[in-house]
Amino acid sequence: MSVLEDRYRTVLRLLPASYRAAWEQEMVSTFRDSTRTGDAEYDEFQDDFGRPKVAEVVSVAVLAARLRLTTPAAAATRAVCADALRVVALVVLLVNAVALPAAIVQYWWLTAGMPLPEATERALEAHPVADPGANIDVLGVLWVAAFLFLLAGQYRVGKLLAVIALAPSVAVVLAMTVKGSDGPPSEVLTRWGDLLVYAAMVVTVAAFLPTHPAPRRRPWLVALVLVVAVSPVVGVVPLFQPIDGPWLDWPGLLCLAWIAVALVPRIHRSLPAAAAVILLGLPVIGLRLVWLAYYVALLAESESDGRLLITVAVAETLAVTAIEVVLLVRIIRRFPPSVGSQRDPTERPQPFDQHDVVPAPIPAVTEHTAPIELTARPKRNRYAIPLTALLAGAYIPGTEQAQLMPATAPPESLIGFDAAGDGDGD
Amino acid sequence: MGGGVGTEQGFFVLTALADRPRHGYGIVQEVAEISGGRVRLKVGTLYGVLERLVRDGLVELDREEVHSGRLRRYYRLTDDGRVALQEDIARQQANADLATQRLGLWRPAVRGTA
Repeated sequence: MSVLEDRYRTVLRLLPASYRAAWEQEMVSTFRDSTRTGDAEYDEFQDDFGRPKVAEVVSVAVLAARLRLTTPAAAATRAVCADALRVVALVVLLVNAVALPAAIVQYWWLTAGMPLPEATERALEAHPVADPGANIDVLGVLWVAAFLFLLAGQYRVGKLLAVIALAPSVAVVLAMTVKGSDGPPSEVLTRWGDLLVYAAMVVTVAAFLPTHPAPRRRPWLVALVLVVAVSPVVGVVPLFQPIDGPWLDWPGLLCLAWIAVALVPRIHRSLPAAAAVILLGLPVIGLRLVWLAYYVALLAESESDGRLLITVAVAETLAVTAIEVVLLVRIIRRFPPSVGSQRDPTERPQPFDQHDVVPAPIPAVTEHTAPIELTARPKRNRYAIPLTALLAGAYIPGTEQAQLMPATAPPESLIGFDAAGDGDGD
Repeated sequence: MGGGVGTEQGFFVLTALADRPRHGYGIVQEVAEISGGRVRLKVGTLYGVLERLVRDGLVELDREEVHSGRLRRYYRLTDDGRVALQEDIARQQANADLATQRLGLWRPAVRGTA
């Protein structure tokens, strides 16, 4: 095999394996014929040093894209991904929806004289909070509205409300960027990273296309109720973090909740649910890394003792990433294969009918609790809703606010609950 | 039987196979010749078109040969392929006739008239 031919075979690896099995040998033969000029010396030189021309590479790349995107199997894969994105969108809205009740509970806890750790009470006495209710963002109710409109099938309104609900967080980060931050220099960058992760998640509402039927309302309404029920815990837990030695921030709580969900085997029996878990793992890792980088920068800029928090954060990052990779490998094997012509063109009769080797077209999922099943288990996942609620609850960014600050830090950093859900604490 | 001729490239591939079976590179050469050098198929493009035509039942395998130690597959038109090509020729002919007729109706604008 010549170098040129070897290089062309490398290009052909862009094609689906099943397609290559049927066509590669012939394509290489045709390619080699097309490179012959009749000049033996030149052809030999080409064999030893030549490379496929850009136009040839592009033609293979275009073919590969078409085969992977337009085949029935690819359509089935897209349907699964779209279902997973809709699940992700609803979970993200639930996550943000819980911020408001959590902030209210936190406010009540602080103002009603409820018990607090001794160190926290001393810090509050030393630095009284001017306005304990400042963290309550009433616009947080828009997340609930967006969630309910999507459930009602009013997709355009739901999407619009989701974007509007995100706007205050964008405004806060923009203002911080323009005016500068009172905190360390890396804070603005961290806020942007945090915001971008949330914005990317909110964009998933775009998966609700007009042609898609509304999801089944009852299980998601139950999930909403459960999430709201969890919110008091989420609002109060940050207040009990050791002020002089925190080890669990909100991305960490999120990591733990995600791991708890990801390790439940039943969830992975439904392909869209499994895909949704994987998709949700990405922002979990993203937020974890954003805030880990912030803590590392903070540690370098000050004498704060955040080593425990950083160590735990690194462990969380590694754990979530490892599980994510394992789940990704497993789910790739479960997806229907991308095909061009699965069969060798020499097969007869009907050697080119690929439709019989592809799973039957999968209908759009209209009920996320009874999603597409490519494996044989039609039963509903009884743990999905409470675990989703747990995962959603863990999204609440209630403890991250400058926890590396020393014990004399301003109380705002202790109670800096982020009602907007963007981690900005405003 | 799936779609028709489809693209211009599909039309030329079918046309290249209309008179006799050809292998991949033979199709590339023939298409370049009959199109006056205007259509030069890249290998990836050719096999994208060929795969679709085969899948749609317009083209089928004629025979396999080993040439200089390499596989050559020869393809030929099926009956459906001939019908599809004839239909596409008729469609293009009708389009050409229509355009010619419209051009014959053209009159230069006269100054001062609406």
